[in-house]
Order: sequence, then C-alpha cells, then structure tokens
Amino acid sequence: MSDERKRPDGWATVLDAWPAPEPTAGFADRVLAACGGPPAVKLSVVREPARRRSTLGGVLVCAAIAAAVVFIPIAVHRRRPPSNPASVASINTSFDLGSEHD
Amino acid sequence: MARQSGTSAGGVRLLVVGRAFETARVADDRADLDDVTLARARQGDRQAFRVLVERYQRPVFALLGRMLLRAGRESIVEDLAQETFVRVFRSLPTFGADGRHNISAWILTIAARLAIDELRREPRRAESLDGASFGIAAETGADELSERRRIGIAIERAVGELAPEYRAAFLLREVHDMDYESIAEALRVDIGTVKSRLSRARAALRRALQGTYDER
Repeated sequence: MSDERKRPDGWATVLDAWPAPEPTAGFADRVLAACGGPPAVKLSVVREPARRRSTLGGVLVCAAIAAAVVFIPIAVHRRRPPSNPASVASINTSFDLGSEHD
Repeated sequence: MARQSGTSAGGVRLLVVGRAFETARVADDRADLDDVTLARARQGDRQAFRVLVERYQRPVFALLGRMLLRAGRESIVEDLAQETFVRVFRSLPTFGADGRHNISAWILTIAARLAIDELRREPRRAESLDGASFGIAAETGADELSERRRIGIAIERAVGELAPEYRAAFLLREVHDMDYESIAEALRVDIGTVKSRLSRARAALRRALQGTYDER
C-alpha cells in the first residue's frame, strides 16, 4: 500500500495486547437460520404448480364445453315458440286409444 | 524499558517491549474468499454462504467487539454480527454491480456502520474492564502477563474515549488494514476527512498511552 511507510510503528503489537472477542459457537448456523429458507431459484418448484394448474384448468374447460353443449340447446329449445300449433294438437290426438268395441 | 521497532515476519510487524510478545492478530486473515465459493454464494448456495460466514466472522466480531468495547455488550456484538451477515446475504447477489471487488472491505463496512449507529443510539457510559478477558498464553510469566494486560487495558480505555467515527477509522485502518478509499466509503466521508480523523485518533491514543510506557 502506498501509505504503508507513513503508518506509525508500534500500533500492531499495541493492538495485539487488546484481545478481540471470538465468534460464539454455532454462530454460522444462527446466521443461516436468520437468513430464512433457500433462495428461490428452483425450476422444479416453478414447474409443478404450472402442471397442476394446466390439469385443473383443462378439466374445467372440458366441463364448461360439455355443459354448453348440453344445456344451450335445451335453453334455446325451451325459448323457441311452437312453430305449428296443429302439430301440438295432433300430438295430443294421435294416440291410439284403441276402439271402444274390442 | 525502551520501545524498539521490531522486525517484520510474514507481513506482521513485531514490536519488542522488553521481551517479544507473541502476535495475536486474530482479526484478519490475509487471504480473501476464493472466487468459486464467492460466486456460488452469490447464486444462493447456502453451503457456500456458510463458508463465507465462517471466513469473515472473526474480523466482524473483532471490529464490533472493539467498537462497542465488549463490556456489558456481548449480546449486542452477536446481534450486530448476525445482522451484518443477514445484510450480506440479502445484498450478495448484487455485490460487484457497483464496481466493488473487495468482499472483506464490504462486509466490514456493513459492520462498522451498524456499530456506529448503535453507539449513536446509546448514551455513552463508563466502560468496566474485565481483566480476565485479556487472554494470555499459559506459558507467559507474571511480568509479561501484567505488562501485556496493562497495555491492553490502556489501549481499550484510550480507544473508548474516541468518538465512534474516529474509533471506526482507527480500527478499520490499524486492525483491519483497510485502505483510505475503502474507509472513506465505509464512513461516507472523503479521503481527506479519513486522514484527518486517523491523525487525530492516533495523536489522542499516543497521549493516552504515553503514561503506560513512561511508567516503565
């Protein structure tokens, strides 16, 4: 260091007579515990939720499509006015009730 | 007993005061964390981060302990050390984006700022010194023990009289060997202010320690 020669003599050993505290046992463990869980750079953790989400999403989409296929025509059919009232009547009178005289 | 400049050994200077003291520079290991481990830690590898913590926990404890002067504040030292590394963990992915390259200086910067904030938060109180905390090797004699302890107590008292910013500048420079630029960034001042604070801190410590050496 450029200013090495300017440093006064004697400080090194004077300070050596002043003991420094030592780290306590298990200090590194406590630091790691204080730092929390593992840092979040784990691809596997990112992948698994995505898979589950796609599976669940697929099921929901299929259910929605199936419901649409089943219930929309029914709803449309119910709302449609009858095109031929006679056909209704004919339905009502077309039953073969058999003859009175068997 | 006269002070003599000693010889350097492995980059650490030895000062002979009567007899040679075994150096106990526990604060700094010169080698920084290797690039591979650092890269893994930046990517979130917790085992690599554990290695980082174990590498730098000693200088962090040393800085915080000397900033807060330990007595009665052991739990605070641990709390702030933990907070230091939690902040390191959170910011590590972006370390280097602003041009920083010295991980050691960066970690000590976080620790120093936390210590200064803590000292500003708490009113200054009389520090009680625990002589038993001055760890001395068993093989040293009674004279060396008392001499070393006396110096240690004297330097601790003298540093305790410094304002937090001066204390931080002095410790970062003299104990942790940070350069002026890194200290300026840590303390959010310019380099001229760092030099001024260091000069004043050293002068104050010399005055405070003068009596310790004059007694011999």
